[in-house]
Amino acid sequence: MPACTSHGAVDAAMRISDAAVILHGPRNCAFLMEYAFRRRVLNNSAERSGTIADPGLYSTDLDAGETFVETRKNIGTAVSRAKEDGYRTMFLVPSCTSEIMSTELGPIAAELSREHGVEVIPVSADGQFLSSKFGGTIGLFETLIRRMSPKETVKGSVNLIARWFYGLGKDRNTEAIGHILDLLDLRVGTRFLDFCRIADIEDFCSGEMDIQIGRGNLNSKIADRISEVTGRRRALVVDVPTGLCGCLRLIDRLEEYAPWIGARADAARASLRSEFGSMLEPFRPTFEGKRVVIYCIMARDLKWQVETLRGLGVDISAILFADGGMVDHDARRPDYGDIRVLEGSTMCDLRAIMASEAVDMVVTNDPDRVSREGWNWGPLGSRWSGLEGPREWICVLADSLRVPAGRWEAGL
Amino acid sequence: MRLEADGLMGAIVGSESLGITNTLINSAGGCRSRAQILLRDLIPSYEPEDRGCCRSKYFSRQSRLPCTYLNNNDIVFGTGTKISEGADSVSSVNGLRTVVVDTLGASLLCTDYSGLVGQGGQSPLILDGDLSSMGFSEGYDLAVSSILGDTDIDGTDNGAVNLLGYGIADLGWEQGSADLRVLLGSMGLRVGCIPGCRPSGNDVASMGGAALNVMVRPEYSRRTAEMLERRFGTPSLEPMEGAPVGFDATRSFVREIGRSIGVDPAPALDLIDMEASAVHKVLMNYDRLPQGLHAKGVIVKGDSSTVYPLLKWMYGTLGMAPRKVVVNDDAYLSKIRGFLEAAGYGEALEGYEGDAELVFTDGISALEGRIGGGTTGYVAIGIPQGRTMDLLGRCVIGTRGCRYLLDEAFNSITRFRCGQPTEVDFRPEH
Repeated sequence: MPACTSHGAVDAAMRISDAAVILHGPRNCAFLMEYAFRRRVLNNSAERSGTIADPGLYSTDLDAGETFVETRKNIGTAVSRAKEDGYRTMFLVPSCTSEIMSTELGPIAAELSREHGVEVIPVSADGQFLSSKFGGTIGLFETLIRRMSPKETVKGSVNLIARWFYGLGKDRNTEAIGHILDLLDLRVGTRFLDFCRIADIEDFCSGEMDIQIGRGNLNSKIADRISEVTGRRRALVVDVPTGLCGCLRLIDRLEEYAPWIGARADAARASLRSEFGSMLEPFRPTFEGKRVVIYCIMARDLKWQVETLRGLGVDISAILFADGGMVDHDARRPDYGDIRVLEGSTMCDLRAIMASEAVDMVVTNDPDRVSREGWNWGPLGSRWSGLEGPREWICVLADSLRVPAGRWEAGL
Repeated sequence: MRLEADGLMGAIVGSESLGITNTLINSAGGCRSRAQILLRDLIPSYEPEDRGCCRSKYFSRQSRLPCTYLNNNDIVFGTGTKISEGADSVSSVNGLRTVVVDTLGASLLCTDYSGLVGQGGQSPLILDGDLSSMGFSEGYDLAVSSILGDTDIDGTDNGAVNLLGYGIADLGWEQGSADLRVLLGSMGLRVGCIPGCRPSGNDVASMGGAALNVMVRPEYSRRTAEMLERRFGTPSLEPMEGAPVGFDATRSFVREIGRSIGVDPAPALDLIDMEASAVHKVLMNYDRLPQGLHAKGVIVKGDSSTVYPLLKWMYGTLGMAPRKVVVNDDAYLSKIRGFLEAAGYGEALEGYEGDAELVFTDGISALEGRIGGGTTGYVAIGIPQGRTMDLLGRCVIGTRGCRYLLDEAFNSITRFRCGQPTEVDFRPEH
């Protein structure tokens, strides 16, 4: 289900702990955004170190009566409340209500900044009214990128630009990337945009280089703008490095991007291969000769999963790709060699294979429907990246071979 | 939570609490998607859904809260066509009438709602009022009264008691409503319709014949009670001590109903006393815990019909000191103020804060408090919920609510206490 333009900006700005976010709209908009943020952050808090972020979100409490008079007063009241709570920097975000009213937030923000001795920063609205949450997100990022000022470079420091910080970052995933960088004598610098303070964003340019993790449009737009505004070299684009192939690919790409790390790259590759091999070894007796079918909705790139299964000696009978509600036209489609690949598959195709072949397990990202059939099944992915991904996945698959499909859905 | 929902969310929840209409949100997608998350927690029991809803783009592959998904064109053309088509589309899936809830943004678009005729002649019901200027409970009441006011209801006397203002916006409402049915049933009363608890069509259709409408939470039901009184002449009761929260308020609740309708509350009082006695025995075993709350701070934030009796319970029974009291509405505000001033804690309403041993608040804030560490106990008494699910029936009202509130309070104060029992000669005599 889609979100709204304002939510994109508000959700990103709430990650900045020393800035308030003032949403110019009715109370309910801000309430729902605070609810969504707190619910997510609180339930993810065990996966993050540090204190739990307070969203610092304020509403201008618009109602129908106020929309037809001057709403500056409402904004001023919200600014006062935020100032009383100790904030000196505030992002002023428009909502669809203020957009319909054609409220010019720029002059109001400037006036209130002078009046209250704080910095009220207007966030640009989506160029296209209510197109998607990313419209508002871009407005916020534009504001943040303009605060990145020239700094003395810290050698070996690598900034990460990734939407998954902005979504649900996890310490272990950052550590997994840190582990690879560490093998190259590099370290993670600013994570944009993770939980942070304004100063962290302003320090962005102290990083020696930037990596864009994930090829999505939003990531690309942000990385493009950073380069355009700051004059920094365009960030290196890499996929989220998962599995051995993903980690090695990251090193290859880094070597192309920053040839000076070449001396350490071979040793890093050897180290990762050795770690991966040691990880697989104890599980090989469990998996050797086992036959699995992969049933996959929407995603197309299963390179690290196939690599891992093959490394374990698993016989992959077929990969069935089923279409889902969304089509990713840019999906990467690796070559799976001699494995039978069936595009546009359905559950009927899977049933036919299961009826005619001796399959030990279905590996799938459609557990709802597959588990209902009563077959042994295991998940298709991991919550972790780097080598943590396959490590966790193998353990779950090993147990998936031993445990029953589970019958809770039919009744307790 | 720093922020409170306004009447829009209240209207959505109110409409869905009745469950006899589709609630079409005239809004951008974001208003719907997060309301959908919140609503799923409020209706915890899954019932197989009609997959036919996938045929309607307004449902967007969910069975609740269809949406018009406002966009650029709507600024120019208004949303009349979308609402008309949307109401037809969603009604064609399940046959239910459609209630249209406007967001503030949608209400600013020039839209002519007159002459809308929906599926099978069922014209969509447009909620009339500025929801953004209302509190959550006010919006809830507006939606319920508007829908019921426009529904065929039989006024033939049936002697039942309707319970208004209690429903899915309450924690553990399925168990809470069952508890009230048992208490009132013991008095020989039949509970007719509880509009907020997704009643059956029959219960709604016969609610006009009730002998009494009890406003369990007046802030959620005054308008509805007035409408029913106008339509059917049914008298209503606003409990003096607030909602039945805590043993004393629950006793008062059944006494008042008994008095209003002319039945003896003794059987219900016996049930409450039995429960109170059973709980008391447990507290006596851990006597240092309730004793440890004496003169310790308590913060209470929530609906006034909960805050008033809860505050009196914590103060009167456990001897706790009100540190801060925040109410979402003014139904019992003057009583709360009077009580606090009489107790010498008038400043609690102004936001005075000191150390607090217990905090009663919404579910998300309670979750945050618990995760945040410290010894203070946090008890959820309102939505949004912080728990992922509840299989134990943690409700706030009735005798079951008493158990939940005390259980959660004592178990959430994370402080070591010596397990050595109090010396026998210091205990009450046998």
